[in-house]
Amino acid sequence: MEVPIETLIIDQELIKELQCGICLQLLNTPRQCQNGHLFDLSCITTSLKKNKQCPICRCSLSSKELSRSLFVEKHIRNLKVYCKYHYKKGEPLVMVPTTEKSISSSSSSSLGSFHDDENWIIDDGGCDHISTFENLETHQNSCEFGFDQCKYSSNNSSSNNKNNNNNNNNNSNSINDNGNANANANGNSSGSNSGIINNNNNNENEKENDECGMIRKKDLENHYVNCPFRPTLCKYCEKQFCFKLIDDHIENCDMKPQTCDLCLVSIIKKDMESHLSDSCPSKLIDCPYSHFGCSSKFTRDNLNNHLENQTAMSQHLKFLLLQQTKKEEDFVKELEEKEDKIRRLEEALLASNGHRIEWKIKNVSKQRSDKYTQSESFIINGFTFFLALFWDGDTSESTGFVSTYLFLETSKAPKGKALFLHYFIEFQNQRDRNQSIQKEFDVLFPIKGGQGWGDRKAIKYTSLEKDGFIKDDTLIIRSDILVKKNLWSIDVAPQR
Amino acid sequence: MNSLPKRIIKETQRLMSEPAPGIVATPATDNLRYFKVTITGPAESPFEKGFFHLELFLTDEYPMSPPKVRFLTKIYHPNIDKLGRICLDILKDKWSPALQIRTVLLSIQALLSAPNPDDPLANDVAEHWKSNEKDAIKKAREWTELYAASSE
Ligand SMILES: [Zn+2]
Ligand SMILES: [Zn+2]
Ligand SMILES: [Zn+2]
Ligand SMILES: [Zn+2]
Ligand SMILES: [Zn+2]
Ligand SMILES: [Zn+2]
Repeated sequence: MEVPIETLIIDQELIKELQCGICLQLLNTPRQCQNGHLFDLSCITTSLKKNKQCPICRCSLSSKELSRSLFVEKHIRNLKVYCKYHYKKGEPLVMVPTTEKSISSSSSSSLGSFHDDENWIIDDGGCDHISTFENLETHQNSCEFGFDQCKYSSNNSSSNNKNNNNNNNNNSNSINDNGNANANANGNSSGSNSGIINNNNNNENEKENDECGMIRKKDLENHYVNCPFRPTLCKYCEKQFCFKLIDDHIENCDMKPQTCDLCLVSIIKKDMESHLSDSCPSKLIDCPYSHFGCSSKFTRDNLNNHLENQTAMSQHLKFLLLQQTKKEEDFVKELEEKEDKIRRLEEALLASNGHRIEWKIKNVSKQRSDKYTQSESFIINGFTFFLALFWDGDTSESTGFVSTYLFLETSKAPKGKALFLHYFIEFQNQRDRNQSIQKEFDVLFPIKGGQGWGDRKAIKYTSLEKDGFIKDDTLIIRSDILVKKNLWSIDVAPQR
Repeated sequence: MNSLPKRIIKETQRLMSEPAPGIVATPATDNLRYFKVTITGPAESPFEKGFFHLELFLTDEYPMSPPKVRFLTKIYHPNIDKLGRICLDILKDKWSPALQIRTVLLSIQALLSAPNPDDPLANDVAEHWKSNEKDAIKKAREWTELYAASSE
């Protein structure tokens, strides 16, 4: 909203003589009827289209008959006026009809009131310059009471401005023309700045202070010296911050020197962490051999003393040796665990796909006189097997040895089928399981030209007797048999 | 709605700050072109002591066209009909943009002081006025007491 021209005129009485008879505003392009009634050219032109007479004296009138008035034009040009910065916007006036009590008391409720927004009042800190109407524009353009946005806080937050006006009665006298001002920001700049800085501590006011508002041109230079948003260099990091944030920044600036609590040397804040962890001579540290077992602690500047100390040195050496031994032990243990795992896996395989035969031969001394002993038979995949022992060998060349075999009952073997077996036969040492004798075989059953497969010289009988294989006249033979392949050889019937 | 011309604001300001005697005109808060008007009946007229309520509306053509004015209070007057319409030349062909709300209302007030049965709008009332002015004035007084006693 612009201050109306009429408001600027110093002698208000003159307006009545110089206003358009139609729009009631100061004449802009005055024209008159033959009787001297004045109208603005645009207003009278519109009126003449409807009615070809002077609106005031009703004399007959046409556009051609309208005349200028050099006197009036000059009079207007020379009107003495204040500039618009002489005024500021006042609170809207609430007007109620003023008349005889009987009417106004009732009408104020039934008829309502008129809110006059255009209430311009004299700004005490404003411009008092008087110019002619002719020179008003020139003066206003250069008037040092005009307003400019502070160049340091030119965030376009017009909504903030509104808040200012609503929240703060002192700010209601802002001028809304090409410059928007609040009273706080324009008065004397040092006073207003101290106000803003004080408010900084107050979070509630933070928003209001996001900008300086509009500043009178004459106060700008002074304002820039004290503006809370003026750019300020951090003396430590040399980065630029606005003044009102510089203290906060310096507080946290990582280039700010700090005194190390331990060595009392000044260190830049961002280097403090590495100073303490890597270089502070007064920092208590663990011996580098701490994870080998050295529990000594000392300040960093004593590290070399500790490392070169004879007792400590031999101590460290001992720790290293211990560490080495322990490593080896761990390796062996790990190996054992792996072997154990393999065994367990084998057993699991056997359990799912194999057969374990345990053959307990009681009364060995009596059985032996029979030269030959055979186990009960068992069936694997339809084949019938049994284990057998020849106590004094099965041939002359194996005399003195025990021969052992896995035999297939060939007569009961299914036709067209074969089994590939992986198996071992173990003589269990009942004194020490680790001394047991194991014979391992991979054999395809049925065997061409034979019934069984085994070891002719499995163990010497004397060893069997004296090395702890026989206990309570009982010998235990164990055999794990794994079916590695099921083979089918199908006879194709001859074609007819 | 168009923004309010400065002339209307200026007229309203003046109506409120320097009201004409016996005339109150206030714009509605939600429509500044619509005025509630109360005219006090002029002394020594049959309408004395009456409060006459009117409505006045400024069209978009105002001031090139006259305001629309109507009596809301019933009145026995040869130039005002049952619907409150007013027979007044400046509200019709004699309108001039140099006239204002104030001048219009003053003219209406004057019309109450000086009824003109020769330019009637309410023909039966005009007849009554011409044939028996005394009786017509008596009836106008009765109506004033009956319908215009309240300032509300
Ligand atoms: Zn005009
Ligand atoms: Zn004229
Ligand atoms: Zn100025
Ligand atoms: Zn600033
Ligand atoms: Zn910094
Ligand atoms: Zn340190």
